[in-house]
Amino acid sequence: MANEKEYARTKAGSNISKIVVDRDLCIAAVSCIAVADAMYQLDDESKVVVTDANAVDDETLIMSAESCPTKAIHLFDKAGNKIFPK
Amino acid sequence: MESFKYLIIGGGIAGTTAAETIRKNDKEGSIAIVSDESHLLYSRVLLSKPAFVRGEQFLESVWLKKPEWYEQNKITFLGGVSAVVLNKEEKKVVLSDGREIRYEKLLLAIGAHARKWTIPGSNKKGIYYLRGLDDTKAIIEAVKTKKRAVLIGSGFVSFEIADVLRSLNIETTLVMREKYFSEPMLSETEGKMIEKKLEENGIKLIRNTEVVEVLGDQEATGVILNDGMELDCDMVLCMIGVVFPVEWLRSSGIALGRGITANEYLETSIPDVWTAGDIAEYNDLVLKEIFLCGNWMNSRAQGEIAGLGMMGKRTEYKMVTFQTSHGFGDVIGFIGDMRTTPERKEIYREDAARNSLTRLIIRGENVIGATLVNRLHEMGAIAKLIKERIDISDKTEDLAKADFDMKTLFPTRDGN
Repeated sequence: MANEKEYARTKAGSNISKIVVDRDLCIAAVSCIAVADAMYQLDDESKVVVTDANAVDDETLIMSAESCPTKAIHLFDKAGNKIFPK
Repeated sequence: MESFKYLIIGGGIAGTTAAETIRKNDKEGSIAIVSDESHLLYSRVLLSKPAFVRGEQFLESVWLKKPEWYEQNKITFLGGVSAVVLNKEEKKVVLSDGREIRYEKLLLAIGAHARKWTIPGSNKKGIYYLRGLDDTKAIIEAVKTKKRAVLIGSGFVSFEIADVLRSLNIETTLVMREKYFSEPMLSETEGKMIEKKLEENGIKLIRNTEVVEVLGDQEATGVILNDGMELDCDMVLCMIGVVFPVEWLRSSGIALGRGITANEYLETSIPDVWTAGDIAEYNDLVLKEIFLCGNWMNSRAQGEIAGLGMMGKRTEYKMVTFQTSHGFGDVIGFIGDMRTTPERKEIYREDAARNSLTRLIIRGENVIGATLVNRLHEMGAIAKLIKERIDISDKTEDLAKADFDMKTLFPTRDGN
């Protein structure tokens, strides 16, 4: 079982309802923080955690996930389909 | 002659992000990426990560863009070919296969290459470098059978590969030119922390030493050190840093330093030519100095800024970027400008019980960089100290306490 953390997203108008960080994949390259620093932080295990799942719009959120060099950030829509990475 | 509105030399994260940024804003303008590798965009930072090289992750996880992405975005990918001449008068680039390509806007995101040996015997088989995907593939294959390695260099790639070698029970001797690991990127205290970890894991360290010859017929079977000592091995891993491939640009007259000189908009000295990523030696508005910064986060962000500039949305690059290295369960972080000079001071935040240490680099009243061993959770606060140029001159004693919360240094109006 992968070491994953899930975060519910309830932002009005957003198509993304869940963010999952795969902590085994996260290497703290932190490009996600560069794209959306209102949303992520590093914890004391040097892994990225979501501090505010509603902090940014969908476009920025997707960009932050795409920026990850290990594809550790996974995004799901309201129907539960994975929209990134495909 | 082929012609593209936007021509990008370099298919790494900087060049590809620039193409992506341009396409978001200009749906029709033609875009081409020229790459000396035949691979589409992949994750360069994974290439030395222990879990990846050991094969715990699928090799496929390295890919960041699929062929369809290039098609859908109408981005022409010219792989396996390098740029050899820049003709600024005719606004064209000559490629290694003789093709000439005209551009309206050009990005030089040409990255860095592994520094290669020129010592006697350096053309033998069994010598490995690590910069591109093919290098890593060769190492993944080799470590399946090799038993005894000589690892050269004390940078972070070397640190990560050392973890791989030992976890596969390959006998490893690490030879470094420096007097301690990662001098001067790390302080001696930090370097010794890493060395302790390496030695605990059975790695023999040889300091202040260089390899002068590789032994063997076709295959490397050993090395000779500059003190005359010989080491037997069946693989040599040469991780001695990078060189910047700027020679082909000299005839263009473009301003060069160690890399390609650029202003804060990542514009080079030649009109309609930008640079981004590892190769960009740019005016850093945060550090207020000319800076060359080789990390993933910086390359991605600069690709975006250069892409915006190329389609007319001139934007300043103003960012503090990080980089991390992983090995033997330790994580080392690098942020901002870590270079120490006699005028700069250092503040140590050590928590010996947790084997963690942060070193802040101070210039005048400000933090300008830091190295962090097992203390990455402080990165965010340090980035903010650097970016907002917080005056820490009367807080140096507090900062030297490992449990002092740096967030208390920020103005409270931010809500922190």
